[in-house]
Amino acid sequence: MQELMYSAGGVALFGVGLYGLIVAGHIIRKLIAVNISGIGVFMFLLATASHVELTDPVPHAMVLTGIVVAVAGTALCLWLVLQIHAVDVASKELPK
Amino acid sequence: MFGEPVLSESQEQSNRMSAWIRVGVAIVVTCLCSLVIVLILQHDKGIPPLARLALSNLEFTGVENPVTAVLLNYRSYDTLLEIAVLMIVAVTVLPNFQCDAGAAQPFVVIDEQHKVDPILAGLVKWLVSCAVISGGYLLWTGAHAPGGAFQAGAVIAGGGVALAVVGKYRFNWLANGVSVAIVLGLAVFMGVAGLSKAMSGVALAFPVDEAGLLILIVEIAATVSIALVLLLLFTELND
Amino acid sequence: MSVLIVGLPLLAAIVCMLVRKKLWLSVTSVSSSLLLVLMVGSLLLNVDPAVSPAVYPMSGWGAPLGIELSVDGLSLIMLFVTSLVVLLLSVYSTYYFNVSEQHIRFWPLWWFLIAGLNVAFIARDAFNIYVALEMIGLAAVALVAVAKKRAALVAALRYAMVGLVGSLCYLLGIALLYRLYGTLDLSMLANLAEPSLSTSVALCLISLGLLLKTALFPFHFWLPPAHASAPAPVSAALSALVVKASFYLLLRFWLEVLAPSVSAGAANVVGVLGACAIIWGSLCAYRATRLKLVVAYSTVAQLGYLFLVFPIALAGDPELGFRSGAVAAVAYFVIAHALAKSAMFLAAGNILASTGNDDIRQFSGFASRQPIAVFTIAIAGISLIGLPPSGGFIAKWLLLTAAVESQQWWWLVVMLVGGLLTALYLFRILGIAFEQNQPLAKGSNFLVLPKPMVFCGLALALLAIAGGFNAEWVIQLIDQDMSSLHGMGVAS
Repeated sequence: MQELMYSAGGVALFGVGLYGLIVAGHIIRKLIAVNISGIGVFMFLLATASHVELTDPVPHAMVLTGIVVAVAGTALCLWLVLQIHAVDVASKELPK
Repeated sequence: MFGEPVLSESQEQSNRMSAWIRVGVAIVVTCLCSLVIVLILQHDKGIPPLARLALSNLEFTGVENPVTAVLLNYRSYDTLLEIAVLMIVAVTVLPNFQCDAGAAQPFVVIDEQHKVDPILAGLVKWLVSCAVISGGYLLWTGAHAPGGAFQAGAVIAGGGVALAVVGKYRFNWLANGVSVAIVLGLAVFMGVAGLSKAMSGVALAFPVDEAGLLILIVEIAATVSIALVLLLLFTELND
Repeated sequence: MSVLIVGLPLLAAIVCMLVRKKLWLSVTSVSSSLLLVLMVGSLLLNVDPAVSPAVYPMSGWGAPLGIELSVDGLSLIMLFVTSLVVLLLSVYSTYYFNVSEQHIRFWPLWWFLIAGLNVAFIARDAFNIYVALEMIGLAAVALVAVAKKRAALVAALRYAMVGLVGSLCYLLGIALLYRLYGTLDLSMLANLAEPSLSTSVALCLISLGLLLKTALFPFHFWLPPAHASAPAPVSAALSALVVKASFYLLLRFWLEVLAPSVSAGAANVVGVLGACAIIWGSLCAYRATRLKLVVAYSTVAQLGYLFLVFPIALAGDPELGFRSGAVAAVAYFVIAHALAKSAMFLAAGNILASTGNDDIRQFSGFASRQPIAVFTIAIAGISLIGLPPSGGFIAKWLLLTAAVESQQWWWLVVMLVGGLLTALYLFRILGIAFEQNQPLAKGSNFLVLPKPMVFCGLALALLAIAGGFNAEWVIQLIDQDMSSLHGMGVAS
């Protein structure tokens, strides 16, 4: 029963993130929304792994890999945002 | 998601989505998620045979922790590629202008002019050594309990972050050998893959007796890479 | 051998991260890409129908516990096209980038991208595919941003967001499948999966993720800016290879792994979206004013053709012959489009590099100033329109035949209209280029490009034409796949 609650919670979190991603305006908000979605999927996987007698290690390994990939993706997006910001600042400083 | 990315608060105010579209999106997303949830609740899941298989073969993997066994033995190929994903981001973020100028300086540059609160300085020294020691412990314990290269790398990178925020220390990513240390994890993993191919005929298939040692070598190298990449991401995204 | 297909690009990437001299980067990359072509070529020549697909148990554990790789006819075709395009693009890139910072960033990312593509083409494991998708997506985003121009950075950011969402949808679909069937291996999933609502929802999520990444209409919004603002060799690789990788995976899931769960309605929806992509992409290409944007919208349109395979192949009984015909047609489309489109992007990149802009309205008289670039566009155009003799013609012919055999003549109309529209936007460019009535005053600020840059594009275009002359082996390879697949279905 508890497992089902966590599974459903994970899927709901995925939905919250998806909604935020489509609706949010600011890029950083969107990025946070994507991360929430990701956490939802990971949570679902972890809930799937739990059984009464034993814990399935395969989804745990999938989640660890997924977290690393999510870190990498988020960092890349943030780097792009910073680069765009730098270009904007540089173009404003130029005399027109 | 569909338009130009918005970067400023004022722009965000001006092109906000209309309420009707937001309600529509909410309805669609809710329907999708509730369908999935209903299906989950209906379906009674059993224990997958894979879980039993993973646990029953544990003695041939060289480690006692099943998650580490999946990560670095059963599905080590995925982990290899995951480190490659980290490398992609590292290459992108790594500053590489003036290639030869920074090479002479050490990796950690100390700014002698910068005055640091003595309490903060003492705390940071303590924190960094703690981070390194607990990172080492996490790496070692990964063989039989939760832990491993990524956790260890993250904790050690945390120590580096503590060092970076003091202001007295600066990391010089152009220093000699830093790029070697960053690719170390991937390079050693590839080397071990080649070695195991020579030993057992199949890439990444570790012989039972040497598996523990090979996994430890891979994990140490991966920890160095992961710690450096995470620290790199923090310092380069922090300006 | 299949391990080396992944191992070689990764090794090349490691070397490129350590070497920082332009000369050594170029030498490493060109020699590795040459080696890759030879390796895939030898695999292709030594195909043994008896042991196809050749399965390789990575890390020695075998199907449910470990990860398996397999090389069958379709993946060989994808690998071969990739290696061929990569060779020519690598040679081109050694001349294209002139700032050393761009070289240092470009080459490792380039090899990580190729490694990711090769991983995806030989993967037999659902989660392995997820990691491959992330490798491809992040490397592609980083490559778009190599030039650090504002337009490219913004396009890359949008592309990155779409990529992340796509992978998450895919991952949730995989998680559902794992919960249902307890395995990640594609062959085991194919045997275990039963048509049910849960499977359909999982398939839906997987398809949504992959469609976002393949940029099928109406998810194409991110593609034109990203492909048009990237550096020329990156644009070529994105259009020719990257979108094909996610399409290839979709093809695997729909026709092979979860085939029984795919309803005729879903196949028709995707087919209609494909038809919309053909029409809409062509119209946008006609209205675009920048050459690279025209070529990028043309990719949106050409991707539409690929999706016509689903309603045609999934109609009726799989035992009928037109299914393998449709898959062969789509494989041929991938080959022809990859070669022709990368040729076009290189030609467009050459024009942009030598004149500093690619506004079509200033093209008048261009044919006499840059004859080879315009010639390349014209030849590649023949294949895109589908005129004989070219790879594009064979591809369209095979798809038309399959459509007629499956008694779905309406797709014929779409294909013919698409061909006409393609001709329209390409002749518009060529028409302006061949105008004679303009003063040659602006000709003074022309940059003369190195010869290899000019001839790499031409070589790709000529290969696209040459594709029209050896249809036999593609059809044969696909037939083998289909018969072994069908044999497996009977056994299970």
